[in-house]
Amino acid sequence: MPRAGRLFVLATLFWTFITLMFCLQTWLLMRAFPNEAASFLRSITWTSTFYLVWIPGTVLVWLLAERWDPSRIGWRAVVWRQWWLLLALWPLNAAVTILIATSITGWGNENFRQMFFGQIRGRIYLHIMVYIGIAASGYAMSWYARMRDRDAQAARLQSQLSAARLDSLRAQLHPHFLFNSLHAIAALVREQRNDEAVRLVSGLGDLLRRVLDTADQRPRLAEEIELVRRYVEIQRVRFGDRLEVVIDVDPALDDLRVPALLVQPLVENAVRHGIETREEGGRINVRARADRDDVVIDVEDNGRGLPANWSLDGTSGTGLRNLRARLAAIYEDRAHLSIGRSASGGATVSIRLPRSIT
Amino acid sequence: MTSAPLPPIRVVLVDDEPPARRTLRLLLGRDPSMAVVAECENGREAIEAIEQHRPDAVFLDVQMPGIDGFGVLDVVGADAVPAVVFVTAYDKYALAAFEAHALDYLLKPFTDERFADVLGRIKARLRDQSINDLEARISALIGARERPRQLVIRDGGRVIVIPWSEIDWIEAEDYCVRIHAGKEKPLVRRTLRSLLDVLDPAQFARIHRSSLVNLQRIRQVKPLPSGDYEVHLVDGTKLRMSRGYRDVVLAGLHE
Repeated sequence: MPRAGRLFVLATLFWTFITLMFCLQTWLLMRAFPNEAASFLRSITWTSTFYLVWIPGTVLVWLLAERWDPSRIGWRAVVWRQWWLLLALWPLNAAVTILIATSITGWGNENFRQMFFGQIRGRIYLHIMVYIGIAASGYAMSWYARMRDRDAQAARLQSQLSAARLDSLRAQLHPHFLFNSLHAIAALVREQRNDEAVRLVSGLGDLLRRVLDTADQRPRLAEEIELVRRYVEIQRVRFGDRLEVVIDVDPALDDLRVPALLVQPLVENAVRHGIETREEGGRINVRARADRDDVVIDVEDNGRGLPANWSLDGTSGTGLRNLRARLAAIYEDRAHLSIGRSASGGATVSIRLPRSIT
Repeated sequence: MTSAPLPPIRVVLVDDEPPARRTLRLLLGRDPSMAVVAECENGREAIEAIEQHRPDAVFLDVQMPGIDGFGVLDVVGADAVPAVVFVTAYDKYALAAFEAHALDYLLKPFTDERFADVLGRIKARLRDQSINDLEARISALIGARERPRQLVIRDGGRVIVIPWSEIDWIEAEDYCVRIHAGKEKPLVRRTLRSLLDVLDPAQFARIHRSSLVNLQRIRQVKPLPSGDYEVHLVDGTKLRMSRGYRDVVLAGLHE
């Protein structure tokens, strides 16, 4: 049900309840004073009508309470607007009440004009009290809804962050990578190329340590790139000449603090999609350069590229989407992640970050 | 050094990673009864090497770029090699399949003992061919595996790999099918029926007794006065669609 419909149901329930309470009260009085039954019935008709006629007005005030957000337009504007709304609703409701109630009780000896001013004057405090009550409850509801949205969003962000963490963990411990690397190490040991074997074991250790380490969330770019080098070193032993990686990073950016596991998973992606599936192998370029107040990091491969109708939002892979969520959590809208076709026909992932948060 | 009394067991090694190939060669080199006749770094090379050398045994990596280990056996046939040892790093599905069909496999990284074990079994199998039902088990394995990633076919001497997405349409011709994939139009000795079993029904639909079409290639479907339809493909080809297939095709197009 749309929001207006829900509010309408709520307003109807509320005013019906008030009306029933009033009728019950009057009925009890009627039993105590049976002689004045006629006047009580008249009172029930008029007051019930008055209450029920407020239902649409209540929905309107509630809807406008949502739209007229004091944190956006200020309390002064809210009070003014609500005041004008009250001035409009008050006579309107009075007129409608009269038209409905007289159709039940008859006009008696008064005409519309007399009744109208009677209603307006006689119920002035009731009108204002009712109005304030409705407006206040409207603001309470929209405030509550906003709070709940904010909580839900915070929870969503939190779960995205954990998902990103888990995702890079899974990528790092991607069994295919891990077991093939161990197999390559075993090969070096069998060939008694001990130095190379040790280097590979330590590289694998570095990678796993970084993935398991939750404390250092903002390493220097130089450390991130070093991690990429260690990763590439392992993959080069596995794939030999099929894999070529060129790293070109402006040394001036070495000390820039970046989110952990920013670049390496992109290189891993490029290896998995651009190299591992191609018999002829491929080349990966990793570049980082300053662009005014930003830093731009590109990971480009010359693989088979993205499928024709591929989109970041449509992909079933979670890695890039999680990375984007992670960037949004840290930099809000000042970081960008984009994926496109590279000049060589493969895929390019490009990240733009502000340099100022260091 | 005494030479082995029997002719050596001729082995083909297939793995896309150099260290893995070196390991196999090194370990096999310790056994004088084994002779490596070819080393291949992908499925395509493996198919050529197996057909050329007709080896006694193959050490076959499962995950490879292009044609994977299963694809190699699919193309050369389950009976092409008397002894196949699958080598894999990690593949839950493959492991379950090997276990189910009692096939030899090596998990990377493996120990020298485990390798010697497998070698022993290869020798036993080659010695006693009478109890060799490997062919049936490999056929069963290939039959049970997931939908292949691409169509692997032999056109004359070449092996062609055609990704499903590059196929425009397929046409039955006598006992063969012609695959229309851009400029490639190879004729394959298969039935339309057998292709339907491996094709993704979300991607391909039958439009006629003798033709299948890639739904993504359809530009328009035009009704004909006869009640049949004419399917226009993106490349301008016009195909006839029998009315009986209309609903399936239209449902597929709307997805």
